[in-house]
Amino acid sequence: MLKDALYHIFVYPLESLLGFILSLLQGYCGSYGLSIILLSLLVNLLLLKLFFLADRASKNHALIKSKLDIKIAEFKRVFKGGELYAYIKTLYRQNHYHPIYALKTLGGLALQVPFFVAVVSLLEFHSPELKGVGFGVIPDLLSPDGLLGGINLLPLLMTFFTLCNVWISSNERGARIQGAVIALIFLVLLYKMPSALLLYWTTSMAFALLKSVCVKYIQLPHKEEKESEKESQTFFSKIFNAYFTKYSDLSPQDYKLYRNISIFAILNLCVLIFLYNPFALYASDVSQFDPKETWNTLGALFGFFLLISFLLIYSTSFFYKTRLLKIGAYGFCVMLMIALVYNFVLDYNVFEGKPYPNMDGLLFLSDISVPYIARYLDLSIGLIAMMLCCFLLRIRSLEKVIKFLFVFFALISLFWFGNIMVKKQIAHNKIKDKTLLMQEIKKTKTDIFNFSKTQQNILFIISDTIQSDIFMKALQEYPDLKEEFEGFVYYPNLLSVSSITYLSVPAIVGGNYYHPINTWKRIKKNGGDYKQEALNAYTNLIHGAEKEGYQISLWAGYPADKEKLKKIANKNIEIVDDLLEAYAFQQTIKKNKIGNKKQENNIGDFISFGFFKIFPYTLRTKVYVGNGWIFGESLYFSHIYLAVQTTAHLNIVNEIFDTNSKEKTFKIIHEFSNHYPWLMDYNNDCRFVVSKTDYKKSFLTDKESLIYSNHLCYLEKIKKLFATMKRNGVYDNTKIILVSDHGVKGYKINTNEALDKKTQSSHALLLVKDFGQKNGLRIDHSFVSNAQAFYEVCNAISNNSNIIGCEEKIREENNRFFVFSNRIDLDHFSFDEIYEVKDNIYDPKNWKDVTKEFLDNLNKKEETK
Amino acid sequence: MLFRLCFVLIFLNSTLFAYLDPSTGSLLLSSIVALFASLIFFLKNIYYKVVALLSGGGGYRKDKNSYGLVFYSEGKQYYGVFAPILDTLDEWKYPYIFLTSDKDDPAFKRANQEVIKFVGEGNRAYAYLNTLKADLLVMTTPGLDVLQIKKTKRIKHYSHIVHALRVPNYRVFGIDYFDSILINSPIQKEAIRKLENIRNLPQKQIINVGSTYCDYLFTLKEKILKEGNKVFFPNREGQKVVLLSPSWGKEGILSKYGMELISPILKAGFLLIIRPHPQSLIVEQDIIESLRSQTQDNPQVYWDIGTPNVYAMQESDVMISDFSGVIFDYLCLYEKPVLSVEYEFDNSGYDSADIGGIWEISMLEKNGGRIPSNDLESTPKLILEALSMKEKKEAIQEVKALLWNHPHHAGRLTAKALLELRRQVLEDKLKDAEEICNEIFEIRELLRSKPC
Repeated sequence: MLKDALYHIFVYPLESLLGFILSLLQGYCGSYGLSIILLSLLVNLLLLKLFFLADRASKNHALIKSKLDIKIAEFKRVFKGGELYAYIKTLYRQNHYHPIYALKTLGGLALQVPFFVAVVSLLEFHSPELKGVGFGVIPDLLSPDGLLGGINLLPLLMTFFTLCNVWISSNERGARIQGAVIALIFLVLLYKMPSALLLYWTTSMAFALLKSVCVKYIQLPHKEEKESEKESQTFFSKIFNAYFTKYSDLSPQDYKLYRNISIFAILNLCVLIFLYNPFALYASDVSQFDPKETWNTLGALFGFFLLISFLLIYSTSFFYKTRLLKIGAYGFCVMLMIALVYNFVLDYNVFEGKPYPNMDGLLFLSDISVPYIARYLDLSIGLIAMMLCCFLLRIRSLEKVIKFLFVFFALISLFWFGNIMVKKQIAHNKIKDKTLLMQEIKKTKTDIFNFSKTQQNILFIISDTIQSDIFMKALQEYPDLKEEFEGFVYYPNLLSVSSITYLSVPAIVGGNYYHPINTWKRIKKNGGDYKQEALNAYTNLIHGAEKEGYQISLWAGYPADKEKLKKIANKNIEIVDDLLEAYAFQQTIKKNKIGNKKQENNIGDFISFGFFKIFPYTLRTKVYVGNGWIFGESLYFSHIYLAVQTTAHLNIVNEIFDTNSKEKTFKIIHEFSNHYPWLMDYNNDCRFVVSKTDYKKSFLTDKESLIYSNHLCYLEKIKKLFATMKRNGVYDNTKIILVSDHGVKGYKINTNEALDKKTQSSHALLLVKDFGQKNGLRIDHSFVSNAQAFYEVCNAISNNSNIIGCEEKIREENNRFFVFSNRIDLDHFSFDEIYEVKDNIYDPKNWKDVTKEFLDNLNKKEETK
Repeated sequence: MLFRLCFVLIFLNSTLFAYLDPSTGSLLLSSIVALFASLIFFLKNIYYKVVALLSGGGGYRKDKNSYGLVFYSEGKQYYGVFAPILDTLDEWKYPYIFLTSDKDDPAFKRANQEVIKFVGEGNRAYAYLNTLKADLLVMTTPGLDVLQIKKTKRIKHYSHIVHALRVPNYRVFGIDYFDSILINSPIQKEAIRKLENIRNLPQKQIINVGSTYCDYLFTLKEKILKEGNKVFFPNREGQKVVLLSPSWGKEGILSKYGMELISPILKAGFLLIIRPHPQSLIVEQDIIESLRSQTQDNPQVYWDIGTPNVYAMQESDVMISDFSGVIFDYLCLYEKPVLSVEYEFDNSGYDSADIGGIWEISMLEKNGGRIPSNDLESTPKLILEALSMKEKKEAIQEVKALLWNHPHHAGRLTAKALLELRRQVLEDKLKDAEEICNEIFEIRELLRSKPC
């Protein structure tokens, strides 16, 4: 645990930062080898000032040490034992020395160790990408170079640079011998290391050599202090000088003041971003996070705080003795003020007068978009902060206030830390229970895919979010599909009853009686709710079929209350156990090898949240993009788990498939293979998109291709199911109804201009194969709705008089209604738009918006009542 | 050895080193050495603390009282330094405590027995001092906060009394951590300031109060003069008496030259009082015994052991010495010439190593002369010259004026200086209340001075 925590504090932040720079360099120059060289040079350049400081400290130390050694030798001649120790101790005290101070001179080492560990770790992390990648004459960056007829050149080059450096930087024989021995040891140790690492080190050594040569042989011109000339000052130059004050014009107290303001403003910003806000978020619900990762997450956040504050303070320190000191301090002061205002005052949606939506894990439950006016508010606050800081900077006590704030935020962060540690144990116990539950999950006995070879079977699959246009596109691109869907009739001119599952499913399993408009009218008249209506629809169908002797299996039910649905289960009706769903999830996770430890950190999300809190509204939307955090992975993980969960149903068909049912079977499956967030990659054998880079790239910029890929994968699964059925001889005696509840809202996959982004969700899929049908796919252009699926079931059942609604002849209707709705949450929605469509959905003229008319009519009825 | 160790370390933990580059590796070796050295240093510290505790430092009863003015004397030989101060304080009826590590300290014969306290010897005494609570601790013992006596916050001020007329040349860092030094000549101040500068130490208070022990010896001398007794050679007639008063150690002239130095003096017919250093009697017993046996039948020689030094100084006409501090006591108290044998003093471990050379050498040339170490036969001739030359007498007067300031008043001056230091400590304690106190005093003074 300690090792992990240390890694996360000192190495992980640096590794992430270097990784980020390496990716940028790689993206810019297109060569990994060159990127590694540039990275090495950048790191060395960045640390140059510190190396010089460390060198100076080392020389000072050596000077004091040599002076003391003479004295110690003198003492050793005349004293011994305790007396000698006492005099040496006093000698050290008077010279402010202690043997441990020798470590102070190792500042360079202390700096380099995390850098080197980070680089090794980074290159290990990037190793899959480096595999087989060459650079110049180096054939593979992951293997030793073997450039000199099998002998590795890079380690020799590195040793040569080191030896030259040792020779130049010291004149002492002992130091040279020591340096040479160490260089040779490293030659042996590193000889077989991958070229990528050696490329980094060799560049680093070459840089060190260059530095030593410059220090030894190039005398830098001594800067002579110019006496400040008194210039006649205009109004503008006075203003300019007031903020871009020369270092020489600042009193030592002012210099110290501005420097400290700059340092502590940076520390305040960093403590808010990396500690205060993330720790508070973590503490708000510890149970959301893996307790095993707590130390690592908090450690890494602390590490980022250390690293980023160090880098900022270090980089600003280059400007302390320039005209930029005062203006820099002013700038940081303004930034801090803005951060404080947004963090503590405007930490809600001021435009709606509401707090931000609740969070699930690290993601908001709904959008956080802001209106255009936000930029004016941000600008005004920025201007006020700038004016206030002009005034505040004149007050000397500002330094004390900023220091106090830093201590305050640090202490509160410490408090959150303690709080997390206390709550962590409770969360840990909960996780234990969950783990035990997961261990109990196993394949439960089910008949959901148990068909009868001798009797008729009805397979009713409700597939979520399958869009008919996309199926059409797939048919065009993959004509073989027509053969695969042997015996099916496809209805392209289909209008979904609604744009959301909640409203469509009751109509799909209950017919036109449960069309959202009819249901709405009924609810308005008789009371009740949609969940109850959905339950009624399911119960009607199942009980009706049961009376006809069907053995029924139901792996569906939404949006009906599942507990209530379970009550209708008996020996002929199986409501599939939740454990089977969990099993399917577990199996899919295993098969796809998702979720190793390293992938599960959410440090980036916490940091993004830290930025989000201190940022103005307009920048907040740049940090929380596409419903996820810009630096985070929790959206990805949340999505990948969601994707696994939604696509799991059809993944275990082969495991539970059987053909030993003696009765007629009727199976209703509501599956979600094409549900958001669409992470199945058709080009990769329909595996999940596991590369975070690919995921981010596609998810943020090319969601359409993800959706298309997911549709194709869905069809692949269906094809496999049919293949299994055919192989087992239960295809012909099964009526298959494949229906979707709606299309994909907002993404224009096909090029059909008639359906705009909104009404695209009306274009649901319906494919029906009757008993014994064998010809290839047939297309029927009749104007239907997805409620037609219910009548197809009715048709399959010879005596369907027990099922209410089967007697209707809705296929003959020419006018149909489509309800466009927006889900508010799981159980709430709105009737936003209602369209009346005639004959052909592809002709825009046939679409009539009847929302107003319909609502007015409904209101009138209510008034009359 | 170190290299071998490093090799072993490298190969034991090659995964760690795989992260580092060669130049960093060499730094890593240095860090291992530094850590190792620090560990040794730390362990030594613990070891010597335990040793001090076991050798008497732990078995004492802590004095819970808080004192004002406290004196500490290491032994009876320092009584002369404190006696004039104690006399003055008694006269002024100002309270003090006198702590001593010597059961035979003459202080126990003083009238106010209740303020004289034996605190044990060595580590036991030091442990007592390390837990003592007082405003002012005055002592002659050097090495504060260097050797066993630690500087604690329980004692507000530490004062050291220089108990030699020459420039103090203590073991290194001897008086560095005292808050004030009571000296008897400006040349001592110069040397102390020089050390402070070299060692970047804060400046101490230095007060020239004269030499209490010289005043004490002078009183003793006057007493002997009144008695008029000749202790060593009662029947001498016109013969000059030479006092051989060496230091001890390998550079001491008695151990270094022995009979080589003594023989020419005796051959020339001088009477000789040999007064070995008390430490020689302990560490150079063989040499002393050998020399005594070689001279025991010679009536010209008297071995002076155990008698107060004033008797020998009183009865002799000239002194031969090396670098002992007694030279300056002899010069100042008796104004008689001193001859010293040329020597090369090894400054190692002394304060003089830092300020360069020792001051006495130039003085000795003026105040008697130097006997060349390669021509000890010339000693009688040099003795006669020293006795007869008028310039030497003038030089002695000069040295006396330089080294012995405020003769016969040191006791009172020191007492005053100590009260002034105590006042400062009390003022420090008052801090903010000082103004209120001053106002009270002013009102009190006003009420007293203005009649109704």
